[in-house]
Amino acid sequence: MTEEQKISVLLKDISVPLSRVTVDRAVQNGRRDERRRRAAATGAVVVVIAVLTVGAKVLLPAGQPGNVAASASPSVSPSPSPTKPKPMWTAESLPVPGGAKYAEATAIDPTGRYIAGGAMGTALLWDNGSLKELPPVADGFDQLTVTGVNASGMVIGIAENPRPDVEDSKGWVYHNGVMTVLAKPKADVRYQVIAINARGDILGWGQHSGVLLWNVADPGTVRQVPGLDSASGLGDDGTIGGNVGDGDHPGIIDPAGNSHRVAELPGRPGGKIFAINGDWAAGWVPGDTSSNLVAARWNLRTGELRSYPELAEAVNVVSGTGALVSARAVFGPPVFVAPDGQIIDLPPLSAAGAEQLASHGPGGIQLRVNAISADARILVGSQTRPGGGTVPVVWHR
Amino acid sequence: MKPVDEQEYVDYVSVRLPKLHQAAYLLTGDGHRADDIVQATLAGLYRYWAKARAAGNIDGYVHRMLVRKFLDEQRLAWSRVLLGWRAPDRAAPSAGSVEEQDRVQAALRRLPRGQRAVLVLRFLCDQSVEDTAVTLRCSTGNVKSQTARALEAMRALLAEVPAEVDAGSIS
Repeated sequence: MTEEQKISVLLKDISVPLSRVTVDRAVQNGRRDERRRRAAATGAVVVVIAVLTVGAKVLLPAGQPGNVAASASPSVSPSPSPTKPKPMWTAESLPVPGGAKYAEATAIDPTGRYIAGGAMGTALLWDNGSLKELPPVADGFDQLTVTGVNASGMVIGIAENPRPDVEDSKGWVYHNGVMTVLAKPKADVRYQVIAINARGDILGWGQHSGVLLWNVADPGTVRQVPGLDSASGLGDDGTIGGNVGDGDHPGIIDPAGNSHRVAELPGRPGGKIFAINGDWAAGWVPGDTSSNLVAARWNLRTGELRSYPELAEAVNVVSGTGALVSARAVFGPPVFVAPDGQIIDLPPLSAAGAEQLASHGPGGIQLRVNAISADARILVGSQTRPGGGTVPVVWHR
Repeated sequence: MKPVDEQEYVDYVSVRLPKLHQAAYLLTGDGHRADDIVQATLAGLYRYWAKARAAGNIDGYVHRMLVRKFLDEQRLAWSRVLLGWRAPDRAAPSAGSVEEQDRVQAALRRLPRGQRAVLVLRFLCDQSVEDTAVTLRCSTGNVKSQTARALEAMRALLAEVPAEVDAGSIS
């Protein structure tokens, strides 16, 4: 038996816990999603905004072909060749609760004062570097994941009950020592809480609910937002970034609640927006083959789409300056990309780790960047320990 | 969806659901999250059933949807949860010993997500190198190098990982 055959046998031999997904449920869900899409399409108001005044956002109207040629003026520019990279980032670890072998920083507020993350199910908040453990959410729901923090120190996330026989999750917001559970959408038992902005809007998503919004001033109310099938970018003015279909088209919902497609590559429609910060949105657009993707950044003020053929990972992180984080190769180490396109490698915690980073395997070190400050001077994420475990990391420049 | 198409969808899902769930479980390392991405995959399949049928290789199409749900949704909360310190969900016993299954699962969790996806696609879903490259949006050379690294890593990890549950992070 070859090694490949042996691995195949081992993988196929692993028994899995009982699934709650059934064929009947899949059909019911499919029908319900179809009804929801039809209702949304019927009720949608097609807003025709081809070109607004100078300085206004240049977008494509919802329901129109999303390629650039069909738009009034959005431009597409390939990324220029990057200049020679120079080291400019330094990495340092963040303090963690005693004994926490697995810890990670997952969010940073735009100013850089607050960094939030988690360690083995406990939510953490670093205020100017000072560590605080957040309280539990509810009985049994003791596995907390942090997904965002704003400049007021409001932290958001999801709490789960780890018991295999309990299918449930609770979105939460923490502020000034008070943990508040967010209203649950009716159509989803499990859902996502993804981002929070300066005014306390909280963006979420559910498989059957679609895009969701809460506000910290009224955490008992959740509302569905039509116009996109999925979304994870949230601007301080309330702009939401996401996609139509499963990456069929990238799009946004403006602060007035109107949906628009954004620029797409000529002849290569498709893409997703994963992050929004100020005038910038970022995600991916299709690459030059039928199956690959490349990093993408949109200027929401001018409508310009910039694709990065040399970057093979979707962008989950964009700053208010237009800087972003991606990777040169699929599954490669993360790199910082300056607003002008310069690509800069991120260092691991120690110089000795640089060689291990190149292997990017379990014997080496893996870096992960989860968030960026508005001025693109601070990144947060994690670094793996070669022997197992992760360390929360902050990069400064 | 027309009733006749829906019946075809039901027939297909009825047969393939266990394998999809197993693949999702090995990718995510968690029963709930496996359910999440299987559910999202089946919802997408219902919506794009005609397209999937037209693709010829429905299994390849569905595996592509499933793995891309896993990889594309890395920004979402569940993907940020570090599972290494949590015990795997206990399941009904199968042919292999529980200890050996734990060792394999623990080793799998220690792999970078790309290598984990390559192993699941190639050796659980029996996809070719070419189909795996399409699914992962990379070159066949990248798949081959990822496979070689993953096999080497699994060899090393299976030698070192004890039969207890300390795995590594789902990244």
